[in-house]
Amino acid sequence: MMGDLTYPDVVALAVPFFVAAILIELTWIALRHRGGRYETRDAVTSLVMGAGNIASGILLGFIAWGFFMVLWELTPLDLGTAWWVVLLCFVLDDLRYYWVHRFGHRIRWVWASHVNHHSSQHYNLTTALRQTWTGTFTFMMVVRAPLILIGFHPAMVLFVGGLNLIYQFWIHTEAIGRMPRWFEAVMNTPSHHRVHHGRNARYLDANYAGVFIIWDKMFGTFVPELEEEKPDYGLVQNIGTFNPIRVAFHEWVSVFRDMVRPGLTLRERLMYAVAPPGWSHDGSRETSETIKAKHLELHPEDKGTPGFG
Amino acid sequence: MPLDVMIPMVVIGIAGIGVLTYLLGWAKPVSFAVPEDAMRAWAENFPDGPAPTSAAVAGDGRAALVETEEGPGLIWPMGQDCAARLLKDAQVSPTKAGLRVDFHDFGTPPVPVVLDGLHDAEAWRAILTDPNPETLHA
Repeated sequence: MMGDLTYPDVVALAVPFFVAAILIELTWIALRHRGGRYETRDAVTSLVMGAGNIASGILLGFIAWGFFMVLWELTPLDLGTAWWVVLLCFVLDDLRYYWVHRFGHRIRWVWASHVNHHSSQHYNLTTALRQTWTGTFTFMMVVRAPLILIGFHPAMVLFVGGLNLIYQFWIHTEAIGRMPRWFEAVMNTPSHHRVHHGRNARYLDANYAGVFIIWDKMFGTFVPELEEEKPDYGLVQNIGTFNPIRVAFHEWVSVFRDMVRPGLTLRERLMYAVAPPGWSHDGSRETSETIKAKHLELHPEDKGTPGFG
Repeated sequence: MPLDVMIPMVVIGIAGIGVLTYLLGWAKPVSFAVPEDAMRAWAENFPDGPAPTSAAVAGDGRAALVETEEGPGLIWPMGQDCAARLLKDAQVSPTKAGLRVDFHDFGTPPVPVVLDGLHDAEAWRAILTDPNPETLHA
C-alpha cells in the first residue's frame, strides 16, 4: 500500500524474468562460444549484490518514502493518474535518472554507492543486477523532489523508476550487437551501455542514460561504441575481491580513510567526499580527466575522436 | 510479491546459476605459465602505462611480480581476469607458504603469494626491496 495510490512492485515481479533471461544468455554463450563471458564467482557476487539491493530497499526504503510523502503533503499540485501523466512521469524520471547517474560518476560520495555496479570485469545480464546496497546514504532521493512537487504522486514516481530499472536489465549484454538505427538513435542499447561500462580512457564518463540516449546527446556526454576499440569492462583500478561485503563498502571505507587523514585542511577533507573520483589533495591520483590527457600524450592521433573531444 | 515466495526463488536462482556456470567449467581461474603471460595481463590492466619491463611468476602460477618503469607491481588472477597493483604503498610480509602482500585497501584483501621454497621467497623479498630492475629474474 502506497498512500492512497497503489502500483505493482514491478522489480520484484520481474525477478523470474531476470533469472530466465540469464539462463537464456548463459545457454547462448555456452552453445555459440560468443556473445560474452560468465565466471562463477563473478556471477554469484553480482546476483548476491542484486538480492542485497532488494533487501536494503525493504529495510531502508521507508526513508525515501517518508521524504516523498512529506513533499506530497506540502505540494498543492496533483496531476492525477491518467495514462499520459504516467508516460510523462516516466520520461521526466528518466531525465532525473540521467543526472543522478552523472552525479554518481562525478561526485565521490555518490560514486561510493554506484562503484559496485562497475566493479565486475564481465559484462553480462548478471552485471545488471550488481546493484548498490547503500543508495539511501547518497541522499540522491532529493533529485526526485521536483517530480513530486509538480504533482506526480510518489507511488507513480517509484513505479516508473522500477520500469526504468527493468528496461536497463537487457542492455547489459554482449550477446546483442547493434539494434536498428532508429532505435540506437533514441534509446539506450547494449552498444551504448557497453561504452558506459568501459574502463578505456575513451569511454570514461560517457553514456549515463537510463532509457533514452537522447539525454547524453543533449548534454554532451554521448560516445558511440567504436568497432576498432572494444570496451574493456571494470574499474580503472579493478578491485581484488569477490566478497559482496567488500564490493558494497570498499569505496565508502576509502572515502572515510581519506577524510580522516592527518594534516588536511577542512576543505581538503570535504573535497575527498564531493570531488570527482580520483581527486587528491596532492594530485597524486588520477581522475578521468588526467587519464584521458595521459592517453592523448601517448596517442595524439586520438585527439578530436569520440571520447576525446 | 510475498517474501515467502521471493526468498526461495532468489536463493534457488543464485545457487542454480552458480552451479551451472561451475559445471560449464567457468570457475577455473587464470594462471601464469610464463613471464610473458603476466606481462601481457599487466599491459591489459594498464594500457597507458606504467609499461612492464620484466616479470617473475610465482611457483604456483597464481601471482607474478612485474617490474615496470614506475617500480615493481603485483598481478594476480581474479577469476578469468586479473587485478594488478604497483607495490609502492604495499606491505610485504613472509608467511609459511611464501609472502603476503597487503595493499591497505578494503577492496583488495591481502594477497597470498605461494612460493616453492625459501629460496624463491628470499628472491622475491630481494626484488621487493631492490629498485634495480636487473635483479628481476623469471
